[in-house]
Amino acid sequence: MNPSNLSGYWFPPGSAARTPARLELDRRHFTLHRDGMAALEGDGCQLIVSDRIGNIARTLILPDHSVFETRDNDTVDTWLQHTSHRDRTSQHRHQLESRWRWILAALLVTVVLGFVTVSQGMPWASERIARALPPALNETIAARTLETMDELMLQPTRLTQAKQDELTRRFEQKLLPLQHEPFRYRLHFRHYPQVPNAFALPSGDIVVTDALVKLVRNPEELDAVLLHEIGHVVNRHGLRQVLQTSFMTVALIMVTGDVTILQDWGLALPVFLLQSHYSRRFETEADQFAFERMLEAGIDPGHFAGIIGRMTRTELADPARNDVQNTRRQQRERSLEYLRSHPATDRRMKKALEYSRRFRAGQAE
Amino acid sequence: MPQGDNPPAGTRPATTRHGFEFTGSGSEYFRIWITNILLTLLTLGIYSAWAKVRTRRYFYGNTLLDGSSFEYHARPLAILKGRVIAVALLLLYVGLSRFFPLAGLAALLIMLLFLPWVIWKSLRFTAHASSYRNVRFSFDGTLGQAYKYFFWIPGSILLGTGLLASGLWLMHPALAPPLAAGLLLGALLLTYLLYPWFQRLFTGFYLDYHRYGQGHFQSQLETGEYYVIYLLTLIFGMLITAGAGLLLVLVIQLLGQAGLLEGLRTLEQPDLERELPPLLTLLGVILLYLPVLALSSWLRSYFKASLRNHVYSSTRLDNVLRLHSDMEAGRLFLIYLSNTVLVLLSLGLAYPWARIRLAHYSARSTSAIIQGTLDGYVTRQQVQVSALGEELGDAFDVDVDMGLSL
Repeated sequence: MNPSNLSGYWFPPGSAARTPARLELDRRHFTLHRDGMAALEGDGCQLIVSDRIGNIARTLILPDHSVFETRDNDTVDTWLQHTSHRDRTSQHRHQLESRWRWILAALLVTVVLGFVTVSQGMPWASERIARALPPALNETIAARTLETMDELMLQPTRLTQAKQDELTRRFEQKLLPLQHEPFRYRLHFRHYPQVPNAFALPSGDIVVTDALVKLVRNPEELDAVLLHEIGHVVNRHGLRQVLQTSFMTVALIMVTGDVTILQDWGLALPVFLLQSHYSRRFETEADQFAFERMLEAGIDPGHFAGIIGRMTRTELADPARNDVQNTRRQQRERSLEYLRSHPATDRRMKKALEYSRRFRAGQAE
Repeated sequence: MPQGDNPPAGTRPATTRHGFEFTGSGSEYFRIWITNILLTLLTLGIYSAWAKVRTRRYFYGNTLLDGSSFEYHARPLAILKGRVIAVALLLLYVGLSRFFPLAGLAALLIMLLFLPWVIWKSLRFTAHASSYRNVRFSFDGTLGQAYKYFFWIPGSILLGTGLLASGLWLMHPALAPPLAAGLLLGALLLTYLLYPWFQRLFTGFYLDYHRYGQGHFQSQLETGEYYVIYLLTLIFGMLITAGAGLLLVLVIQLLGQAGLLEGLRTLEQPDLERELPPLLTLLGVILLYLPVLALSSWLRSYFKASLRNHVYSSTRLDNVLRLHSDMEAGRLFLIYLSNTVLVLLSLGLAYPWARIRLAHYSARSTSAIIQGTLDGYVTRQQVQVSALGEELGDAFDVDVDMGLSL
């Protein structure tokens, strides 16, 4: 092997005094030539060579702790390959980083792994942790939420006390025994003009609007909605959302290595899309919970389809109508689903009807 | 020896101006970045310490001043140690608060008490791990000073108000609730008003106790300048918000007249039947999102550029080197905005290019005026020892953001 020649700067130990220098390397020895100074010689294996990263300057520390710095990375690498130098093996990360084939593979694996982590890993871990934490923690998340909502948007209910008592009795006697989690469930009635809705707080407080009570055609329909809300509580969706958000934040900082990224408005849209995705999963999970408990309690899950259809003014595709109209209706129903917090209603209704068929088959036997 | 070189009496050493230069490239950093991410994922986060060092080394090594680059020397294991401790503390906290909610709260307060220590450790760690032209930086501030700046000064207002409130409560128990509320409001207002001054103090502490070899950095930050920058940012922010609000009202009115508002309702209540074609709705979302993005980016650019220019331009190293920064808010804004759009459209894959562009621009707008030469600087003995041997005690590495990062 011919001796390699490197040009660069030489620094005395710990000093900023910069001297142009040339380092001559052969298989065993190094010789350092500096302007106006005696040549320095030594064993090449005693040089400490820094790892290569991209094309940043390489430092070679001499046995006397003085430093030779060069930008001629390729020559250093070639020389290392031809020696038994111990730093020869510490360069493989750069070799990985310079192979486009590896980069392509890494990109592919990262995208797949990242996708699996975000779509499966984080929800899974959040669920495990949320279930391991005490139920009391769920209450702290929702502390004062209902009071704040009462002040800002909800009005006192206009239902009669008798009606409220009747509904509460059914809730406590028929629905609560269907689950065995130590939450303190409370049913609240509120007036919110013209919006038939129900929602659950992580603490076990479930709020039903007067409009919903008016909209239901039989007690079973309200049962369906309330079981869906109990499903949110039992599955700890509030706590899991907090955990998923924290995981996302940590992962983001780890991937970018940059805390200030969180101030970036560019993140708002992707984060919003991901949150909606998680939210839709929670809804599906709560639906599932409701369907199963309805089967258990002998309530036809078809009632869920009925009430949710009326709540959202959705009609299922009608086989009697022509196909173009049906397709257009379904397209409209499902378009932009990724922006929404709830899955498309027709999907949820169809699922309920599937369970309903199973229910009826069970009854027929 | 170079440090003995005194210029002959009567002649001033030559003054030269050197621009900072950044030589990294997007495709190079992309390859480092993707490798880092994959290895971090595969090792369940453990590799992140190595990834961090590699990234830092890449950015330091590509930042050049007068033909020499900066270097980062931290050992990944030291960083990993700090991270393991942090995770252990987090688990301890979660475990404690599970069984003893009050103990969890106490643990949180204790951790808050340790925060200045963590900041101090990190400042020292990062400074000692950095070098330029073979000479290490260091941070000389004491632990006592860290507590002064990061605990007592910002905390004194709250502590004072608390004492005052309890004193009043002892004297007039009946008056306590409204008084306490008023005092709290006053304390918050005071903290808000003093915030620019706090920032100036933090940054001053940060700069004045950094050293290059045996040299000292000195800053001449102006509290007035800080207030001007914060105030203008606030005013611009309010003007922009008001303008955007007005525009929004106008647009909604126009849309309402055109009968297109039914479509917007569906965004709030997604399950109502939609009247507007989906593409138009999407367009509407984008049209709402882009101005918010642009305006917030502009405000951020203005704030960052002005603060950076002031801080850099009032910093010097002994009588040898003066820094100068002439970043333009408009240019920075264009970079921020195009970066965001690029990263969004590429689903995050353009992030390395975005970061490299920012590094290019911040280097290009920074320069150093050197009087004489830097040849006389040498790494201080104690720093050299700690750099070669053990790290300084147990290293803690947290990124301390002095509001200067872009």
